[in-house]
Amino acid sequence: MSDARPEEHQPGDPRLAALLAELPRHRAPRELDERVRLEVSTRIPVGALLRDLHRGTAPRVLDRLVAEELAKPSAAVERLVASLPRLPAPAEVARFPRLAQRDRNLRLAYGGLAAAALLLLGLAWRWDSGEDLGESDRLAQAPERPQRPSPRFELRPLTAGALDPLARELFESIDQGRSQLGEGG
Amino acid sequence: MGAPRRIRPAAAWVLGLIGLSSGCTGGQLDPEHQQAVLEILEHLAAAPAQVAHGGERLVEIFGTGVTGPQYLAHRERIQTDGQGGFSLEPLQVLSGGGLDDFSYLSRQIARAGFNFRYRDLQIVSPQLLIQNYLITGYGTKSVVAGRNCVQLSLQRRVLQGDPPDRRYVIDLDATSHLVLQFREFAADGTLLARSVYETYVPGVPASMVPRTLANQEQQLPLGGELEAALGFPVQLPAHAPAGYEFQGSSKIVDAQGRAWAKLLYSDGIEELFLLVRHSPAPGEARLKALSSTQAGHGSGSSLGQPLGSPTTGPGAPAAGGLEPGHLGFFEEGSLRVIQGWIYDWQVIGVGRVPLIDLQLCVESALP
Repeated sequence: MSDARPEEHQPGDPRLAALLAELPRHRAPRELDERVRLEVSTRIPVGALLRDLHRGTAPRVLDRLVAEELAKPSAAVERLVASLPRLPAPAEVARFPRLAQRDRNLRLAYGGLAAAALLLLGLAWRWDSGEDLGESDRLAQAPERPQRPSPRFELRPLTAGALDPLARELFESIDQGRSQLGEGG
Repeated sequence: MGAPRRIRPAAAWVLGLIGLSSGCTGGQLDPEHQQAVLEILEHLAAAPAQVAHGGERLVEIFGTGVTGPQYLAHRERIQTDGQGGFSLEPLQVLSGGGLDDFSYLSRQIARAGFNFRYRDLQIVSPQLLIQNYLITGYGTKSVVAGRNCVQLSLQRRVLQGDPPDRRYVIDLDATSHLVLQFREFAADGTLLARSVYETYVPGVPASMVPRTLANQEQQLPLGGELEAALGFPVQLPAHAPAGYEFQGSSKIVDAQGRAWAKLLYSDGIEELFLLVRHSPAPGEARLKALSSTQAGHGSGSSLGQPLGSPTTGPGAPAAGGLEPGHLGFFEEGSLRVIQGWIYDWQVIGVGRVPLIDLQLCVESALP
């Protein structure tokens, strides 16, 4: 056995090309051709694939459930609640009808008290709303005026004649001629 | 204000009236009722511009002039196309309050644009109205110009220490929500103004010629666009009177050709106008104005200077030994005007607010 290392050839070496040309040639398996063809040409649109799939029909109940869901978003919750198992009342309740009657009476009494309290609250609110108040009460209820800063300039009275023409025009327009500035100024 | 949403009128009225009856006066409606009331008020606010109609109105103004009680009355024809176009023509003077008919009619013609936009109980902002006014009456049925109406009464809320304010009673067309009659009362019940339709014809009037506004008003948003149009910066006042909110800004050109920034404030019904322009104040003009103020006559603008400002330099009085340092005011009843020329800024404020509030508003609008 020789320990001499085989001669190394670099790509592009003409001797390597000559050696390869002398090797016996074998035909590639058909599967390889097929796979290469598929690899190169396969850009099948997903839509086309989906179209080719078998179409199943949704069960009718699904249509109804979806319709219910759209019409009434709480339908799912109601279905869930309706599907919960119902527990029977404890047998003691049936054995003690007086207790149940007392509970009913208590509920009526509490209901009446609550209604009376609401009525009183409503009356108090109406009383506080201002509609039935006199003018003095209404003014007494008025919110406080926010504190004003001090003015920076001295303010002096003007005669109507000293008004700028535009100020005068605006004043007269808002005043609708009541003060007759043109005659009295 | 945007166009109101379509609502079912019957449902809105029912809900609204329930809302009004259940304490709207306190401004503490539950959301459903408050929404219904707001929708009615939005229709009411939009109706003057959106309801095409024609008609004749009687307008009466009651007041106290310098020569005694004033009664002014005239008939006018109103026409609107429902697209914002309108015309307002005075037809007949019933009482000119001392003015001859020609002068009275001329004034009405000149003020037609203002009257249409601001006079006849125009609701600028329903939200502000509910905030600032008590709804003290509702639901009474009436007939105005042959139309079925519903009455609504409003009273301005006041703050502690303020005297009672005026109130309004309006008759709304039950179908179109147009105000067919409004009456304005002083706090003591005295009638101050009334406008009532005597005839009403729905639809676009065939003969209408839309009026063009006289002051070349350009509504522009506050900021760069307005400042570019005016050539000077404009700022909102730091202190607006209680209950008043900014509604819009525009450039106007007055009869003297001067360009002003107009800032409009409202409490829901009443407007406050703030006008500002940048213009160097000539010493002569200031001197003349101050002189006229002290003498009680004249035609110039008034002078304004900060308290304690130096008496020499650009802001100092020109000459004559007159004391500088004031803004000028004029008032008649509850209506007040403040004007001044402070350094290079001329400013005017007009509105039905306490004088101190108007002053703070005017002062804080200066850059």
